[in-house]
Amino acid sequence: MSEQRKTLIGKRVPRLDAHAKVTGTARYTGDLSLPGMLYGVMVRSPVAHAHIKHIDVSKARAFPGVKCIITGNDVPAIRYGNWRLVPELQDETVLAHDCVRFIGDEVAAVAAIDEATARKAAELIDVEYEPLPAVFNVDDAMAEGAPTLHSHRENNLSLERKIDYGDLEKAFAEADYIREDTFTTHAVSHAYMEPCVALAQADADGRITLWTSTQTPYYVQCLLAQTMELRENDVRVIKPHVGGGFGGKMELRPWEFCAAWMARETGQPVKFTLTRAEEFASGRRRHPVKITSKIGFKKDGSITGKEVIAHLDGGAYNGMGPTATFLIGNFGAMLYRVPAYRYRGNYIYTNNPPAGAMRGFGAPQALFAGETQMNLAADALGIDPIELRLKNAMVEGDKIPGVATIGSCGFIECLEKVRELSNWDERQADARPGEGLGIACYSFISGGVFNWFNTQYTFSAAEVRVFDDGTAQLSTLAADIGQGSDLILVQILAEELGLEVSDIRLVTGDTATCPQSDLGTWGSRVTLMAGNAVRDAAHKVKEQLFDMVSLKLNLNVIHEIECGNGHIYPKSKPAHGLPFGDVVAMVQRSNRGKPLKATGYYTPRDCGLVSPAFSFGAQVADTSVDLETGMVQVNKMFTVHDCGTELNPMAVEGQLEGSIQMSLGYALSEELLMEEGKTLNTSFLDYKVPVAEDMPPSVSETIETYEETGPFGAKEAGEGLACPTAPAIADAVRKATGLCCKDLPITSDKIRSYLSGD
Amino acid sequence: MSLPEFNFHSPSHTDELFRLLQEFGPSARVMSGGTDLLIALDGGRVHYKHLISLKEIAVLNGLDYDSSTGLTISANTVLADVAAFAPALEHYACLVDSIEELATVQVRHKASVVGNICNASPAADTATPLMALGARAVIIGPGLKREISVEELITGPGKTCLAEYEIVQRIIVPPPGEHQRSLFLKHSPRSRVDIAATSACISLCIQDGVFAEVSIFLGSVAPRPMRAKQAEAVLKGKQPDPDLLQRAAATAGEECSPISDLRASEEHKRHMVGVLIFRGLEQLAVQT
Amino acid sequence: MNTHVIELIVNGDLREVAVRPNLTLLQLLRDHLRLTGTKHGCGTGDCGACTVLLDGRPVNSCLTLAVEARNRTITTIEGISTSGTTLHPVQQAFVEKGAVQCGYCTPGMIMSSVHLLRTNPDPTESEIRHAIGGNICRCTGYTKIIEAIETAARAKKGSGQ
Repeated sequence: MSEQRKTLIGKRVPRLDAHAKVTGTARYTGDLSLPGMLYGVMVRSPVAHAHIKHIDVSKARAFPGVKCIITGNDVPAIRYGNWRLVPELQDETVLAHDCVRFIGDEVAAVAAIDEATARKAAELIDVEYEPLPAVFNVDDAMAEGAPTLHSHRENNLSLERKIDYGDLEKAFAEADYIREDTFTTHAVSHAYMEPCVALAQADADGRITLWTSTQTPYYVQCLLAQTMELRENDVRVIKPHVGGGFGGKMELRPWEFCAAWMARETGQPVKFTLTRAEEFASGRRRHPVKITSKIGFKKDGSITGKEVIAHLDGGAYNGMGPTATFLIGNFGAMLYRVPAYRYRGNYIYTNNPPAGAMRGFGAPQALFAGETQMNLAADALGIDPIELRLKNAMVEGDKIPGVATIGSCGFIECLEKVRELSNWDERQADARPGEGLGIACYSFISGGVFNWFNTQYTFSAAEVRVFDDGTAQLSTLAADIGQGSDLILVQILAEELGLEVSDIRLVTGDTATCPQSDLGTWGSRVTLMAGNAVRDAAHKVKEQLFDMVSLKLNLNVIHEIECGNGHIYPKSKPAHGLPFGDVVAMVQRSNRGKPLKATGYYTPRDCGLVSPAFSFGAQVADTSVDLETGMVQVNKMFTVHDCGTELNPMAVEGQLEGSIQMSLGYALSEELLMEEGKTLNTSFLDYKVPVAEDMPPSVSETIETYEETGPFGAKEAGEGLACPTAPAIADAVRKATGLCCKDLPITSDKIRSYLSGD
Repeated sequence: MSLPEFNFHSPSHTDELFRLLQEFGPSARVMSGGTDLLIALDGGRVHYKHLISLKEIAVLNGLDYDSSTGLTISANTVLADVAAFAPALEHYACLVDSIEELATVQVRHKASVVGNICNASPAADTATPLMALGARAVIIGPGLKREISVEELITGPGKTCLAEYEIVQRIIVPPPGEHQRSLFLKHSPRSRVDIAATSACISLCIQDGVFAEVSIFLGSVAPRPMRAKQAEAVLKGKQPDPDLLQRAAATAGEECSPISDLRASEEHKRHMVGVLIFRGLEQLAVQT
Repeated sequence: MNTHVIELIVNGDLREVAVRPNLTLLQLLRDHLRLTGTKHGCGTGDCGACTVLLDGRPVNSCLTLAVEARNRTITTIEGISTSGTTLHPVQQAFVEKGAVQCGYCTPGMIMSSVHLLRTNPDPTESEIRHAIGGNICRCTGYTKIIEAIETAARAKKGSGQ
């Protein structure tokens, strides 16, 4: 044991589940089936807004093979939603009661012996709708006399979020240059590859087990119990492998409820599998937002103040909208020092399918506006856009009063590095028509601190057990939905215990066997929060192990002890260690057989309203535009980011590369095309996710900082990068063509119309 | 996917095929690859009680080339096989290009060229090259055999001139003329790899410094793949110069009749036809 | 509907199954033969998650009728490695290069890659991009998938496979 202590931090360790996934043995919810299983389908509203006069299920019920049909009349009319802290924001019922509010609103569910039978029966359900006037954009929804979606919100304004600090009037009065711009963003789909699936089984005593494609098993457990009027502990939620979520699988969904309810009614397991068309037509989507931004500068480029007014098209229900509404305000004032700021965020109900959380959670919209405006201002001020950003860049210790304090921050380094990588200065001097370099930046959260779910548990928990064979077990409800957090948590534990990744068994994704609790995957929270819980548990176990080593080796109390290479040893005498398993055995014996285990916890406290830590980054898009067709070709992406310590560079790169792809789609090709509340493009043929040939080459570099609040100094990677790509491309397109595109997406049609002077 | 109910037949001889077609009439549909048909059935856009696969009928297989007949593509020949067929690459580059940009690798290995034509989509990628190259379809039915041009075969969106009991046995693409040059162009506004919002195929022959033969076909800008006759007329007998090419391109943009849809606006499509035709002509003029 | 009793070879094993005409090959594999490695992503042949090899050709099993597989040979993700414990070079490279995230596109992506390397053992990067054009991945941006296919091509060349 004389070699240097091995570290796993920063190592390119392959994923734990890669072998199972490449051999097809990894089980997703859709791969599960149970004896006697029934197949469910949802019956959805074909109209955008209507009163339900009558539902006749008699023909469907009589159809051979149908085992159960439920409508809103058969289940409790309980309003639910993720915002449990403010019950009046919980505005959804699992099945429509009296009223439908969007095309796709769930009205009834059928369970039958096979899917074909369920579909045929679903068509036999006769729903009589009395159409109501409907609204499909925020302006119409707020107009005088507009039809009301929810009776407790007469003006369709679901909520307003405000942020105020500094003297804004004075700030604008002192400004040498003020500009105001209005931006609009569009609805896009998460388009995770695995459509939603849920499979439920009821025990004889009425307890429910639900296997579901979710990124938040704990929320599903709580809200399913609430809507079924069960005790929380009577619901067990199991998350098998999940084929992506990106924010789209973080609420209780009606089919999860229907599967559970109908399983209890029939005594048979019930499985629902959504079609891709259902996903596109009625699934959650990124909020379309109208943002008006006003910003003032001194001649030297320093920002004096900023005002942002946002109107979110929330669709028919709140979902995660209240959070997005706040975060748009938060991200409106991130990146730069803004001495005075006013934000008004308005969440508006419309008869569109409800929006929800999606990668970036308000930040892509806020930063499309904010970063595009910075580029326009830079031009107007005659200052290079990177210089303008450097002039105002946030640094460690900066505060957004009452909202957040910036911890580790490599923003300035990111800007300087991306300038060098992209050859920015030379390219500025050598501008050519049809070509452009565009820049935009981002900052993002590492988990949210605000307890809108009103959980009664810590935000993250992890149980660590160690065994006398030199292995360990980690148990946590932190949800890996493809991002690779399982590996990161195991890597963190292996590092703490001085073991190999292969020495650790992971138990996860089951509310009944994992410690309470974990809020799941959203807001890039898992590495930081669950990672800290894992470390806490490891430290508790290590304390006992170290005591034993101290005793056994008769160490002077001043010795530091550490774990490494499968041993535990005094730091100053690494050769004098004891094997890890032997020490576990000794502790166990000294405790007369009690297993050695500990549970660790993490809850962010006293860190403002937003997040314990913020990532930063800058991106440059090298872009060409075909001046005759308007087609945009991104030639190369340059990305420099600060994610604190890179725990696993291969995992970080994967996050960045995937983010660029999704954001390229957001900027150029993806859009849910809407007509009177109806989603027109409901297949991958017409919803254009970038394929391999669409992807530009890309170079990325990391600015390493050390984030005090994160495990081994780590913070967010890959979600914040959902923000800068669209404004960077917009900036490049402006330089290439002169068109300043303030409404996403940037289509060839828009560019061509502009160039032909239409 | 939850397909509706139907019966499946897989005759091994054409006699049996024609008997089934006569027996079932409009309730039957023949299929080779079936990639479009199954989506249409699933979406409820078409209804058939009987699907009749051509795959087991040996005389409907085969892909040949000889310098006198040209390229013979049989009913069951899949797109990928044509794209990988050396004589096709050598003599019919525009057809191969259209296939390489059609749908996905998986579809190209299942779908047939003849099926792509017989589904008669206005956006069928192989239609414009086959028409521009003067391809002919050999049609067989019970006791009958006739031959028409591929251009005549497609009569409207989803419509062909085939009788219920007829099938296209093969498509014959004549050997290219000595100075013939052709190319396929496609514009997809939202991605480099996409279903065409507009496509075009130009085949021409420049002799003695003038356009001797020109054939221009446009996809996705009319109810069926259409011939840009007026644009052809602009070019015929003239010397290629940028003004002329520009005029022909503009004419093509005017004579087509696109509609606005999810994929692009009418105006954008017209503009794109002009751009594609100009670029295509320019490229071909340089080649010759 | 006329039920058909068909024989087919799936991953080397002869199977006899009774199928209704409207059963897709994807449903046959997943629901009847319990080969759930092949994934259902869209049902319209646009995403490639259901890609299998039919007589060696990559096809969307969601757009293939089970009856069409009569007397044909099917290879799925479960059948591409030569033994239960070793990985195919493409699978190995996907693991090592970090080409897997959520994993839902992975089986189809690997089937397309296996077909590519059988027909074109030394593909260029643009040939790789073209060959996986029918497989959508929403997590990786394709970068590491392309790297993995390049790595597998080199490994196969090295081992003379």
